Amino acid sequence: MELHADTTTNAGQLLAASSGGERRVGDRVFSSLSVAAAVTILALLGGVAFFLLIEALPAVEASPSQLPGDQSLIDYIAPLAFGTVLAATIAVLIAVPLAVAVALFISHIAPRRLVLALGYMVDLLAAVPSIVYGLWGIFVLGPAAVGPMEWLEAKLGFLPFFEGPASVTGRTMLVAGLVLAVMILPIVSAVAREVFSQTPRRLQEGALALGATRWEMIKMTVLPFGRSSVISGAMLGLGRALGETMAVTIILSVSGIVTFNLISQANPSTIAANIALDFPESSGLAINTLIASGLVLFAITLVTNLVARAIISRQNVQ
Amino acid sequence: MTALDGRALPDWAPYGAFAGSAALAALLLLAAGSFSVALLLVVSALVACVLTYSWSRAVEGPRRAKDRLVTLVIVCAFALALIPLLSLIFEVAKRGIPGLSLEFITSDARGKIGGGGAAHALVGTLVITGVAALKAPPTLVLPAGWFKPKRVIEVYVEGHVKVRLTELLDRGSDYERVAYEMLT
Repeated sequence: MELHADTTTNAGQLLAASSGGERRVGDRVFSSLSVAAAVTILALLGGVAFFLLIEALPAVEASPSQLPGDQSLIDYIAPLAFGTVLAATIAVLIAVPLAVAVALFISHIAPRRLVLALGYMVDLLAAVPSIVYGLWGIFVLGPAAVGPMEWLEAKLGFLPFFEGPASVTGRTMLVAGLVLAVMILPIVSAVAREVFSQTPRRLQEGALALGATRWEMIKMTVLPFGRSSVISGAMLGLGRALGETMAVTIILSVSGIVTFNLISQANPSTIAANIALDFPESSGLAINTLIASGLVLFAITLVTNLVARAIISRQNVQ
Repeated sequence: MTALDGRALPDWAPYGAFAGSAALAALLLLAAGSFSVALLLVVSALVACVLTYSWSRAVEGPRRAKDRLVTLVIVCAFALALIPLLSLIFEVAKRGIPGLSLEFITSDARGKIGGGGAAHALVGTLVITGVAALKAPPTLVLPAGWFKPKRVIEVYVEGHVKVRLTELLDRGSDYERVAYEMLT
């Protein structure tokens, strides 16, 4: 890496020297283009935040009696924010270990001839539109999950998550979380797979040469090498799960409560799904309220990403 | 991978262990009177993990046993991840195939209410991708002066490939873009 950086600097100095110390036109154009692109993205982000703030302000200032459901803004948004985080957490908890296993299978365990085809199959999942996942969730996974959810209620009902009564339609938080997990799995595993297969050969062969079994080799070289990328892949998936709208809108049977009960028919909605459902029928302050909830989602996503960045940069220092 | 002291499970061990576990799981479930395909797969996987680990531990020792266990868990996780994909493909085919008919692929939806087909969408998709493919034959970019008609060169693209240069398409100050045909 360092060697690389040195050669490029030298090349740059050489080029600069050869053209009499002046930076070339191409260099100047390129750097101003990249600066412009970066500034545009920041400006867009700032514009979105500004728009959300301005539009959310009336809802913040309004008295509870004017808002939908005669409740304060916090009471309105809290269950939605809770549902959003809950669904996304279930999805990440299920998807990330599976995605790491899938990535390891494709990069280190599957027979060489199959690797391309298998990778392609998993990537196919990423290309499926979210509305199709929603339909699959409500027509296939939901009905199929009714039996297992009754079993969970009967055997593990003492845990708050499976308190029941189990839904008979399968339109529960657990099913929504599972569908979200299936949706984010390809992204997370694609990121992990890329990095796993880039683990330096000499480290892997060194471990094997010292007598490590394949799993010990993976544990000692591949996983530490890929750790920060797995984290950033997970955050990418978390971001998608937090913002996912259509699949959740279709699947979840909602009522505005806060509960950890994952298998009943009364579930907290998520911010994005709530906006999709209510926006067409809203006007005036109700719209401002929805936008205020959007602002909260924006903040949640921003904070998650900042935390992820912090984790990754700390990993890289070590 | 064989241990230096030669104590290793036979090559068929992973498959044998899984087949044995499946049979054992089927017996268990039939005895318990709650047989279903999904349950069979889950129980087989669990039994296979226990069986593989203890068999390998007895013959090959704890490190190899752990290696086999983790490999099995990873393979099972991969199979688990493929289930939604297969289910999705199956559902789309099941619900989509009845809608396929000669009318669906031969007529458009213009001015029709109920009925009609998607010929316009098919043609549009084919035209867009077709034109893009037709306009861009695969080419090679070479250093200037390399092109001679019928010259054969070797190219490294995920392995060595021999190509014959056929036609000069573009000439820049320091490169040539040429059409070619494959030889190997």
